[in-house]
Amino acid sequence: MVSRDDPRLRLLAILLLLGLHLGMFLDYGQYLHGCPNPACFASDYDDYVGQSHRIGGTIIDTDPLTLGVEYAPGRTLDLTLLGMDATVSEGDRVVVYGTLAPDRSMRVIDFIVHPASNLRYMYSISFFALVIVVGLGLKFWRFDPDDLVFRRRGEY
Amino acid sequence: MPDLLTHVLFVYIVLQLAAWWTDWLTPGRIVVGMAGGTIPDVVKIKLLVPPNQVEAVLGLPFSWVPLHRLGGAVVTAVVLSLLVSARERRGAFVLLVAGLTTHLFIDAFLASPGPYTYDILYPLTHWKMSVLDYDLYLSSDYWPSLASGVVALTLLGITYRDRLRSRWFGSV
Repeated sequence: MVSRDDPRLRLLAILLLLGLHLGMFLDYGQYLHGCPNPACFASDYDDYVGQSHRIGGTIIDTDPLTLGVEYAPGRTLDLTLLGMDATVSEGDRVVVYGTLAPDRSMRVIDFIVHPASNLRYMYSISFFALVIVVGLGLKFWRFDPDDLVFRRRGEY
Repeated sequence: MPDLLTHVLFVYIVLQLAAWWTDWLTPGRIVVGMAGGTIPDVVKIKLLVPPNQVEAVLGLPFSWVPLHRLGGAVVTAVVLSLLVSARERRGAFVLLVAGLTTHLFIDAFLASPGPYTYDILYPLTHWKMSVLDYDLYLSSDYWPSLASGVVALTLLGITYRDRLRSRWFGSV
């Protein structure tokens, strides 16, 4: 009888599961490529005027307030933000929800701004969390090189 | 997402409370749940391997986003549980799924403009869970990690109070 710890059996199962992952990556990619999306706005802007969407990008000008939305490498849709009462600087990451208006502008209904210093904190403590989990994982689990599995310390 | 520390500590808090009622939840198993709390953030692979580079190679539309959705995250949990010994595998899978589910749930309450959140349940549906649109915190806020840190340390202190007491004050 084949052991459930048999590395070949588990490798086969893992390859099948990674195939399932790949299927989802391609399916979701197809979904994102479907209109509406920033690439569609850039190519057929007038078709979307009057529609409300959420869109993220970087502030590239503050007078007038302009959001740069990169929809493909090196290609950016520039949207003038109307009615957005916020103190932002060039380079700030902003997500806005609003209605697309003529002349590549958006009437902003709601928005969020991520201050750069908070983002540094977020990345730092996220790395710290990863160190904690890996450290505790190695404290309570050990790698069994014979069966190529992790065993809980004290399991047997 | 809120920071990863908040996710990991939140799972610790839930599982440590549960461990007060069941001996099965040993510290080693709680750590597995905490690891599960990191699973959806495997999506950060997009920073190392941008999806448009993968698209250029494959010639097909591609997105890493499913790693941060229920379907993709559960598949990741199955893969990880296959790296654990058969004796612990089922329990590890349950704990990994518990961790990743809390992660996705907490992320649904992130502040985001617009009357909807995100399609957590993909590939079952692309519905963007508008019922969870409470906008409680920003992913870059300080307070979720500080609050969960205080609660987690308190639980840790209560759980190991006897050990801490004997270490600091000697056995009575």
